[in-house]
Amino acid sequence: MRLDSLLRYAGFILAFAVLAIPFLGLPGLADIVFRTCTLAIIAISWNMMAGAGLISLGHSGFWGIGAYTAALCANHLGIAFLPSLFCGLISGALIGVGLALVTGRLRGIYFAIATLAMSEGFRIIAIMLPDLTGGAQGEYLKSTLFPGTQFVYIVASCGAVCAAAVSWLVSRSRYHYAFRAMRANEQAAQMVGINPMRYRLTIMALSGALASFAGAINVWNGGYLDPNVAFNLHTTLMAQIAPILGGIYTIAGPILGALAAMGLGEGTRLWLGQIEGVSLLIFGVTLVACVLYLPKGIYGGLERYYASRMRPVYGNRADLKDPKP
Amino acid sequence: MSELLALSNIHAGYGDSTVLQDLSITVNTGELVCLIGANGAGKSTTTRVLTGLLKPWQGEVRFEGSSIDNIEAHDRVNLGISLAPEGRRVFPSLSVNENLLLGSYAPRARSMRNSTLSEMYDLFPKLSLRRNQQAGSMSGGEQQMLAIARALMARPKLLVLDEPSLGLAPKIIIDVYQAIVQTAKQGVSILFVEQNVHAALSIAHRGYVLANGHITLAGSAAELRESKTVQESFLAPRRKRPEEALLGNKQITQAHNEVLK
Repeated sequence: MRLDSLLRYAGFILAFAVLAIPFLGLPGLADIVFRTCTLAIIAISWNMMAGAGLISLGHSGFWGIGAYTAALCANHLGIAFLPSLFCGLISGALIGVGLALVTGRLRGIYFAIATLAMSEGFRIIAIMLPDLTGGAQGEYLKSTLFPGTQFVYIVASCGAVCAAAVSWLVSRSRYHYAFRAMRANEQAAQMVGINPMRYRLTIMALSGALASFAGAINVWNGGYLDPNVAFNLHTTLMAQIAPILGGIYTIAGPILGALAAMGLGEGTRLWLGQIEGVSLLIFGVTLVACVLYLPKGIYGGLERYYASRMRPVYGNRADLKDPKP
Repeated sequence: MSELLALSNIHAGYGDSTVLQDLSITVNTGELVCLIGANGAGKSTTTRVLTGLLKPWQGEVRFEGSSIDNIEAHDRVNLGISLAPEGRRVFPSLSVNENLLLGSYAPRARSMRNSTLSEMYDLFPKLSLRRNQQAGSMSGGEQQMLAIARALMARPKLLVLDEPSLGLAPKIIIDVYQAIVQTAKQGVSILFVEQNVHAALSIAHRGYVLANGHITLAGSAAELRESKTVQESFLAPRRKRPEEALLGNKQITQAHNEVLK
């Protein structure tokens, strides 16, 4: 079986498992799956933008905007769980569109810095508007609107499966070529008739919506939000560690990376958590080792393993040199 | 012959530095025109202005009689202007086939995609052997052919080539030039920019000499070759005939003669 079809089957099984786990009534496992799902969503979102040559250092901005929109809609307007998620998603898409318009043709490191500044800007705005956001004290979600932990988990699972489906659909459409061409060289892409701004708007709206959805559902799980939690650099870092670990520019990469990063993080925390700092040390060292020895991520490593195993066998060399009549 | 492209009184540059000063060029339908000049004369800037990647400060760009100053670069492709950029700039991580398919992204070319694709593989047989190879892993000459083929996939009325011979071995230059001549024969108008003066004048119908941002000389290829300015500025005295000295054989001269017939 080829690697891609193998991964497709694995993907279906994984999607089924992710959708089924919240129903099993195992709170510990369900919590880990929930966090893996949100990580996978934001990783897919980051990878989508990276695939069009837009390296973001501001995904915590989208995440936080989604979280604040959902929380404020619920608290101030009394909007229920599912509609508030939708509001979060829309706000993320709008921020994505705004960012695309503001950054214009910025590329590479300049674009990355602009996104970083955006996320920091949002954090400061959230602190400066205590009447609206609760300021540095933070905001608790109204518990009357809480739909129950299990339902939140189920929606998160559905969201992760949908995000994976969206990234797969994009990779099957002809837009996929436009994004890859823009990643290679935006001017050359324009010279074959691709309007870079149109595709930037599309991909950043889509990516922003996904990341904000993850932030919004996360706030419903936690129930509390303050600017430093919402716009945390850690979110931005995890959003890119997962795809890079799993295999950047691939569909399976961010999902494999989210599984691996979460497994590694939880594993070291459970087994080595007693000794202060060791779990983080191991996490970091493993990441460095992965970047050194799996430069194309887990997906690239699997590909290489498959290529070496699937190489046709011609028999031994002695036969080739001296063919028997 | 009717006028296809006209740049009139173009002034353009980057930041504070002026590159083009009062530059005017025309290309008529069916012509093969070369723009020659030394490093820094403004050749690439000219191609950037006419394809829309750079907005001129003053002057007008007309295509098929109407002004296209307000049309964005990606929409100009759909009008029928197609550029094979300097230094090739194929999409290195895409396969040859994918690069070519991207060339027909513009709606104008999309409906004819399959027939154009097979035409390109006929015109560049070397590419058809490498359909599924990553473009970045090919030789410079093959990448240049791919860049030209990709530009032709847009079914242009005007093909703009920016230094097609840059960094290529003389033998490969001949292949590339034969492809250019072949394309011109099929009725595509071509404007190509060159530093390689001998080679350029051997296939072009007409030429412009660009120096310090404006046209210093214009005329037929034969006139330019005989002109004193060109000989003094570009052609160092040589014992052999210019084409032979540069290319070491007569194939390009033959190709040139074929076009003139």
